[in-house]
Amino acid sequence: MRRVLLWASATIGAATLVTFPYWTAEWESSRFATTVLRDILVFAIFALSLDLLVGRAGMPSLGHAAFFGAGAYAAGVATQRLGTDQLPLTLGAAAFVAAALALLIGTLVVRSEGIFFLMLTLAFAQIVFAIAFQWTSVTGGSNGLAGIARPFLGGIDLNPPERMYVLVSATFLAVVLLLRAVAGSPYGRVLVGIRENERRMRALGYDTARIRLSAFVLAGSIAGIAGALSAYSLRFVSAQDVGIGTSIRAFVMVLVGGAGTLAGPVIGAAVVLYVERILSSAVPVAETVLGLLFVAFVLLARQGIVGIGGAAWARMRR
Amino acid sequence: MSSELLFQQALNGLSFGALLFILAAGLSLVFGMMDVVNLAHGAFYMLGAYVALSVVQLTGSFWVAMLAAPLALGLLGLILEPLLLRRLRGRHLDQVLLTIGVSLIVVDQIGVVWGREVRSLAAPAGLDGSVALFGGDYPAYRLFVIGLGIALAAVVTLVYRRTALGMHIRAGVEDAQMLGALASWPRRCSAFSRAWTSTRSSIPWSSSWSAASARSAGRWWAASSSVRPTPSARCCSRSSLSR
Repeated sequence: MRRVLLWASATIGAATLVTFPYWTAEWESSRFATTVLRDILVFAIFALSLDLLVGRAGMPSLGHAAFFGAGAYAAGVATQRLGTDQLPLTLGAAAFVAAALALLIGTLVVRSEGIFFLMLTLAFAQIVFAIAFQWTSVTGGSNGLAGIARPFLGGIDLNPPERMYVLVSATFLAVVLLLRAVAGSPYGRVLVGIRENERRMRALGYDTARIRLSAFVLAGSIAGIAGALSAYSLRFVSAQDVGIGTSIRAFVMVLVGGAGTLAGPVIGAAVVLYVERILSSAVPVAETVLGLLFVAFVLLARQGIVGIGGAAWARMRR
Repeated sequence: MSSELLFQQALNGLSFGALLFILAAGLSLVFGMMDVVNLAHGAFYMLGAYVALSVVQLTGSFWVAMLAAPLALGLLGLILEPLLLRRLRGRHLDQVLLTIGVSLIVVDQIGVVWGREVRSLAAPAGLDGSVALFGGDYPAYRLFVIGLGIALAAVVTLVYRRTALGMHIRAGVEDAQMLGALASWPRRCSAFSRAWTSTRSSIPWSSSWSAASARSAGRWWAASSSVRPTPSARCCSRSSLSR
């Protein structure tokens, strides 16, 4: 009975989320709210994919923007230079390019751990950034790709903001369901096992390097999808999407929200975008606020907002 | 390529290398001695440049700035180390995250205090000319940077190898716990090296060599700190966050 109730409320919640622009159409700031929520969800997908590495598998990647950017460029290039406007094709291309890049980089980095993994992923992401910045004929260099047309899904034009939002939110829900399934699966348990004690997992017969690589590729392709959605949402891709700033933002989201949970990265994305989009118009030092948040959470609340909430909840029930 | 151009390029490489050496020496000391991964090193580097800029504007003397910037940054290191980093001993990942947070704050606050436009600093009198070298002219200031790099390397090597302090530092790198059991040095040593490294990171910035790019270069983190407005430096500029 409780299960049914839970599923029912989850379904209602999901439906409410997806139809947001329609039931708020009467609001004065519906457009703005839809835009902000859309961008939050895009980054939530990105942060969720990073959390698969950071929170589950214990692989702190500081170069995750490489795959986000690869997906964004793939979608942009497919639309602008190759003239494809079918969503399954462009989104598929984004996921594929990001996954291929993740396979390439992952093969080289998955054997390292901790701080070395972090530095290597950062270094490779900087290489990808340099390529994106200098390969002007494909990526547009420092100008980026502007005015990317939104794609079609069959005969449906995704250009109107509401439809774009529905696409983003539906993808977000799909990603949440996928990652939830991964977390509950034996594969997800193995990932946690590798995070906790890699040597023991290896002794048990798991090919840990390959499993880590598979997680890296999966996370990379999801990040690529997030990148493609970002490209379509903003109609713009620039080298900044591949840069370290984007990687850091995702890391802030995961850490502030709470690593190793599904809700954490989503809450983190909401907090960061709130600070950047809404608080920044009131306070001119949004980046300082982010930095302070980051420092405070590292020092005082390593478990993030979800961890704080969980602890408070446990205390209340006691 | 003419041999003249070749020499010039070689010298450019050397002076840039000297700058990177000065920067990296501090980073490596703080990592080796204190086991701290400081990704805010680049931000400190940038802050040093701005402190130097202000000092030059105030006193008009490049050499005072050359002294003041390292001292100011050393002081900052002395304050930040016990406040933030001491409780994260041995936790590399947390140190990385914390120092990234610190660099976000420092860079943003520099924008608030000094403004966000590009600034530059002229080379001091005597070093602002050029020297005839290999049949061409070469900026004297860059030669000075090369000389400074070599001198610093010599001094550091001397201190490291020949003095009691250097011995303690080497012992601390080898086994800090053992050193602690023998004397009360590590804490003092690490505070010292902390201050020392922040100091070091700011030295090159009392330069005009590339102060023009101070703002962007500071974005280009830590070990990879560079002085040209590298593309990656721009990648997390404010505009990207408020897009």
